[in-house]
Amino acid sequence: MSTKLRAVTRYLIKEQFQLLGWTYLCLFAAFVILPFLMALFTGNLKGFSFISTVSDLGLGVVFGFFIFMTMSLTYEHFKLLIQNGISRKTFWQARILTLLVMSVAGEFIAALYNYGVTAPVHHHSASQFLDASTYSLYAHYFGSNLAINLGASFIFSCLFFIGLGTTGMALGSIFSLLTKFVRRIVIITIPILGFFFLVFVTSTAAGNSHYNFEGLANFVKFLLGYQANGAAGNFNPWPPMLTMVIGSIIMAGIAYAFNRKLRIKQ
Amino acid sequence: MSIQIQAVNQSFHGQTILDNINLTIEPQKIYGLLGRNGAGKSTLLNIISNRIFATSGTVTLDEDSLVDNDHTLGRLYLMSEVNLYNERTKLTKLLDVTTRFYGDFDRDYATQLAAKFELDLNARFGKLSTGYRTIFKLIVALCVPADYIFLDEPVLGLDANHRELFYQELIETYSERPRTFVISTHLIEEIANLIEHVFVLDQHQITVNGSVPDILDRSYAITGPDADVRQYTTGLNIIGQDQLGGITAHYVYGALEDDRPIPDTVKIEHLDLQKLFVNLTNHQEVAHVN
Amino acid sequence: MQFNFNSTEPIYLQVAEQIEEAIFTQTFAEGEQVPSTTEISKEFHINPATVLKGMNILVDAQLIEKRRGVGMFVIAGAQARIVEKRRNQFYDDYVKNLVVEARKLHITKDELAKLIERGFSTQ
Repeated sequence: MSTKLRAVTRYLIKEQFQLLGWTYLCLFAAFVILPFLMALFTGNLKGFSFISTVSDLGLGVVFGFFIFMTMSLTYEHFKLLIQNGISRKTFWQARILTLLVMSVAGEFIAALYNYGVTAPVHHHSASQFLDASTYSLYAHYFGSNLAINLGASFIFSCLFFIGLGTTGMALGSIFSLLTKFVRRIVIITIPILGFFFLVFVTSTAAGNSHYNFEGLANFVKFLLGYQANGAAGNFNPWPPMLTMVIGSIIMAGIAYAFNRKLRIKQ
Repeated sequence: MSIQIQAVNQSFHGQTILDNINLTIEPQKIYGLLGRNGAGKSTLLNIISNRIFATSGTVTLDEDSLVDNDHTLGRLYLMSEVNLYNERTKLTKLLDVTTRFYGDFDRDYATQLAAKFELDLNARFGKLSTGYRTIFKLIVALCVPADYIFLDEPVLGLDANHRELFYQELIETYSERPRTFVISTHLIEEIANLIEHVFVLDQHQITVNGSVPDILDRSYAITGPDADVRQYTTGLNIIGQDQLGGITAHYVYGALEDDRPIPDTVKIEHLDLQKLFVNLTNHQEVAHVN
Repeated sequence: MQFNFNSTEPIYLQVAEQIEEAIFTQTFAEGEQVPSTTEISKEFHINPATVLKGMNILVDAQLIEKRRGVGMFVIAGAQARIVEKRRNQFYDDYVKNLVVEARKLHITKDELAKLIERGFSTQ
């Protein structure tokens, strides 16, 4: 690893941790302190349980948003780095390394919180908690060894965050190449298109459509690791993990291609 | 050992911004890059420092590409007119960042300079006036351990005292650690004796590229009665003229006719850099003469 | 030190001339140090290489010498050397021009001689 790559990676990771700290602090303020103050002012303090509020913060979900958003920030960093003689290639490599480190760190913090705070507060055992988590579909695939299932859940989440991060990078890189005008058009049209897509999907699901999505449905089932003969909890986590790895690589590749074209706007 | 700019073209939406630029920038020299507004100076500097891409052509440093290359990019620094720093960031932090990426950043000298310019390093970049933004960027440019420093409008918004201080510090640091400075400015008089070599970028092309004494040696003001001056300068490369009453001044760039007798009434002097530049790049005037 | 630069003569020559003048008027006495290249450079915003080129003219003319690690010093006898040089140039620089101008003004040789006498007696 070159000294420049190391310097940039360290810089980005340091910045990410600071941002993450602020994010969690805001989360705490919004979901703990604010309700507490509301309860205080409305005289409803008895109905406010500090412990249960603190234990119900969805750190994993928040981190998913966080990693997607921060990884999409491209131009601000590019400006600073090119001013300091850092190439686009190094910038990209550093971001990938940062994403890997942050995904593991983010999931580690979330897991620590989930199994160290949330589960005990709710009087759940780790295995009960795992069954209620987003990994619940696959929670028993590797048998009854809790440690292995927890480990698999950990890796699964990390891969998910990496996928979100690389997607953020790809979108951010594309976005930073657009002119302000085009960017506005995109921001306006995407929700509209999304709306029509939703209308389309709901009408299809309601059976009002003559389209046949069986093939697509089967494909999605495969991607999710759906087992025709197995109950939820015994789904196969390998296909989705592989999908996430491949998706991440594709997204990282897209980010790289657009990243190479970054330039200072005049 | 040099930066080589070869056949660089730049166009944007079909409009030519740079037209076949070929330059060599040597180590440890002070250059002036002169051009009128819109001539393409900033674009050229942005291409050299790989902030934007040329439409065609190559830029190399010691024969290594300057495109997407940490090794070469880290050896040059462009202080640009555009502000690339985050407005909310404190100056000390920006210095930290520069130190982190450039390595041997001269922090002591930066602190010294900040004191001399009365710049508070605890301020946030966004809170600074135009002049102090320039000062901060100059401080970074003078302390960065790069071999090639490009200064785009280095005295923008600076008062006379600060400009004086800047030129003195520039010479001081240059004497202590010789490296290349390329200065792009509109205040030609202030740098006329400071620069060793000059590039003039005019209408998207390099029209002058030479050492300052050589260039000035080839530029003349020929003054005298209208008819005599006209007779003497026929066929020479007249780049401009002035008229006051019956007295005419023709400005000539290039060799004079040695065997042509100089009339007693005609005075021949050399031009200074500012006057030469104004005449070379004043296209209406030339059209008028022809 | 006060330098006056004009724009029509190469700067390095002007640097040499100005320092020579300062030695001639004993602003820089013999054996004394002359300002360094950097000092002159900083003061007048002149490229250090240009200043050095001017200084080297004076080194070649044996008016100043470099003392390693210290700086440039006026050589003993420098002023006398300048005086001698200027005496040699006196005819070309002044007498020739004087005669040319006198002719333009129709001043005769005798009248010119009288003017010179007057000049000597009043000063």
